[in-house]
Amino acid sequence: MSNLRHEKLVDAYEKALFALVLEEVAEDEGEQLLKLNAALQADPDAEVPEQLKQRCSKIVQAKATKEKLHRAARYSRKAFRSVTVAVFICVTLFTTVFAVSSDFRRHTLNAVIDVFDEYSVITIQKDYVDKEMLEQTGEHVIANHYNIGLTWMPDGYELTDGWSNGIGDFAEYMSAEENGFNLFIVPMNENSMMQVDTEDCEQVEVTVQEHSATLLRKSTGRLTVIWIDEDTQVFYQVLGNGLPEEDLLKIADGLVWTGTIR
Amino acid sequence: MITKKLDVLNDQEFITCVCEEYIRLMYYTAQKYVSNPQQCEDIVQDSLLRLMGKVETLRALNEPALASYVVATVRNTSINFLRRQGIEEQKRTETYLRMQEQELEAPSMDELIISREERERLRSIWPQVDSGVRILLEGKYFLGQDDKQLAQLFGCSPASIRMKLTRARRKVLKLMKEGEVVE
Repeated sequence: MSNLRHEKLVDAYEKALFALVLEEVAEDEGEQLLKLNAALQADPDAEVPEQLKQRCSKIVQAKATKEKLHRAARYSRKAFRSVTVAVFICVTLFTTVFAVSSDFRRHTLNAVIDVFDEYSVITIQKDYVDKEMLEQTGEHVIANHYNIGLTWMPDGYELTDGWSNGIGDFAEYMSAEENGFNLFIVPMNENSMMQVDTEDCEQVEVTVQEHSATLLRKSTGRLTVIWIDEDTQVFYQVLGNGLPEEDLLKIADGLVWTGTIR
Repeated sequence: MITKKLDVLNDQEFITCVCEEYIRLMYYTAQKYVSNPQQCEDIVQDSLLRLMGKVETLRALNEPALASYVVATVRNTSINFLRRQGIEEQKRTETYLRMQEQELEAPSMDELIISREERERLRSIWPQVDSGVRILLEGKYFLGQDDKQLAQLFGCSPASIRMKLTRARRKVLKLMKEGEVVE
């Protein structure tokens, strides 16, 4: 028997051995975990927050609904995502500090957003305020996920997706009527360049959180507001579909970001 | 204890049942890694999403193994979460993923007689194994994670994971052979 073949056989045997042993270890540890679980079930202090149970229930329901929608080939979150082409980050050799408004007018770019994280659904409780955020920032944040806090959002919206990948933070909210908005925040450096879809858009200068910002009104009805906090060199984008303009601007104005500046 | 017959439930009912049964255990596990209640909730939710993608695997497990799988999933999700939080949490993450990176001359499989007794021996020394080695081997052989997922958890390349797995197996086999903790 050749050496290589022998090594492959030994490798396969080792893997099978560990798979078997890990299965048995899991059962041993599982017996202890079942006892712990029983103790937790009997302990009133181990009760989990009601909103977590509701969130989990909604996730399961939403996945089933999503699968039904997909099978029915109706307009779904997937379609919303494909319309929501927004940002492609590239680090270039050129020293470029991305400037809002006038630079946008010179460039017409198409870009794609990559969404990496799993799909999730959360219901925001009415009158809920994140107490820790209130202490840290002084802001009455009512929804805080993936470092993106909102102090205001329209009724009827639920978090349906989000991610933090070390480069930027993203959160997406949708309503039952399948209107939605997403938020994308990226700390930049002098070598960063942001590309945003400005094709077929009317551009309007607005003010968001005392920063000069650009509102893009696409002919399809999609709205995007973008700005850079020049003190922190952080890029902000809020994009909406099916939302009134004033709602989108209100969401943007109430945005609180707690991510890490590079 | 789950009293329903899980095999007659559809996927949605099955995962709902698992969630209802283990949600306290999941939250309890997440609390070992993060203290912020909102972050605990996010970890439990993310863990549930991972479990929803593994329904077929979960259905094949008996109840003790299912409990282990759920807890292992929350543990890995928590460690990933800590890693994403950045440098401040790095040290805590490294504690859980600590692996003594030493070159070991492990016995070859030819030198080991893998009988039932030897397997029992391996199970008995399991608690003595580095936490990082345990998490790595558990992730690979119990949770069925691929090299890319493990690389993300350990903050290294998939190629490095393959090397780590080889070393981890050798380390455990050496422990099993010698019956003592490697310092």
